[in-house]
Amino acid sequence: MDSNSTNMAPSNSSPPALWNKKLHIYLGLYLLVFLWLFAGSGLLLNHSGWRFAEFWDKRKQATTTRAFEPGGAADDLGRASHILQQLGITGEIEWTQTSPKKDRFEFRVTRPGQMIEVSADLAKKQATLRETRVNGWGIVRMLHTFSGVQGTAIRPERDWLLTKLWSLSMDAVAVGLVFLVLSSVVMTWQRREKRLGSALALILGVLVGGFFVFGLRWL
Amino acid sequence: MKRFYDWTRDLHLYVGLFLSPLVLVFAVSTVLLNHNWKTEPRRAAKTTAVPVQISGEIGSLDQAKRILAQLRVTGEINYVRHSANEQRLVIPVMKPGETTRVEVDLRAQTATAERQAEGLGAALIYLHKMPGPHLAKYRGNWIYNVFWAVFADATVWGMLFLTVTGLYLWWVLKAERAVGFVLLVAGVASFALLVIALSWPAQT
Repeated sequence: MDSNSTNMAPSNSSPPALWNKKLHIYLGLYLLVFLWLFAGSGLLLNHSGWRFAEFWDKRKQATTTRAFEPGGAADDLGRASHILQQLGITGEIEWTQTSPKKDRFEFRVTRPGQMIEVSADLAKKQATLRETRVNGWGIVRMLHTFSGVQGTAIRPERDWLLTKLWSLSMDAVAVGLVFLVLSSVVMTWQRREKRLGSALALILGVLVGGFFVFGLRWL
Repeated sequence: MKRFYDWTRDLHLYVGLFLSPLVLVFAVSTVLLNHNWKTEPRRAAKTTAVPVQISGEIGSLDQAKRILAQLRVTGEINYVRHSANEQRLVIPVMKPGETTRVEVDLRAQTATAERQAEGLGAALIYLHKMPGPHLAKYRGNWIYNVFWAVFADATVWGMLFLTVTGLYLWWVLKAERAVGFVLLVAGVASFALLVIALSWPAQT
């Protein structure tokens, strides 16, 4: 094929059809690496036995003790943020826990690849930091689920700016995928000579998807 | 070369269309998961305790399967919890959009089943997370979940195929190279910046 002659604007394409195709290409290119990450990490999550991607057994752990001044807002999130600020640590505060002993306050701060459990002794003004770091495979897996509202998170809101940005990216990728699907259906409709094969492929996909989403509960 | 281009374009089209409902399952459930969407399950009446024959290793998957067969409950056994003190088994059985909680009284040799309908959103979330990394020793105990695991993997490989063929199809369109290249670089840059900022370890 002579690629020089390949042309986006066949004479019979209307402007909406042309823009539909352009946006399909542009959005697909922009989202490319995001799709690779979520697709690849999805595979890793579904095949946790793959040895090459092992991360938890290879984790590195360290414990340190640091001094701090108690204070900050009255609520747990405010107290935890106040301590983290003094320690120069940023991340998503996953959970907090006030011990029955009132001078003990514990919480976990997380970012992909690193989890730090902080045990603060408010009387002694000392915090023990138990840090766990995982390798690149662990980071990839954590990125897939790092929404700030996942299983172990106790609050419905995200408290770290980067978590908010990442979760916004997740939404954007999802909405982008919906657009890519819809725009591909529109493009298909415009390729008259391919309509039959396309309709068969789409119907087969709808049957398979429908079977799993709606059909299984009847079996 | 034209033949290769035509084949690639057709395959991109057909594979994309076939996968599009499955891609929508993952896309919509991503938004639901990302916003911690919860549903209030519609609880059905609990069945009365029915006698069951109990055999095999207590708390094993095989034993749970035999009990479910007697109760005519189908689905993926999420796990089996054996409470030795109470002489009870709890067996949650999952399907997309539906959970059945089976409780077995080992002393009385009876079982109850309580079914909850959880709706479309829960079905999408369930499929998104299956099989997943948790409770791996239990996963795939219902044949339809094994089929789903195959389709979930196929969706991923299909997506990778679509992105690679999409790159080729874009590159052939010379008129779109410049704008496409800018967007590709912008996507890579924004991704890299975000991932590096997120995963750069804090100093303890």
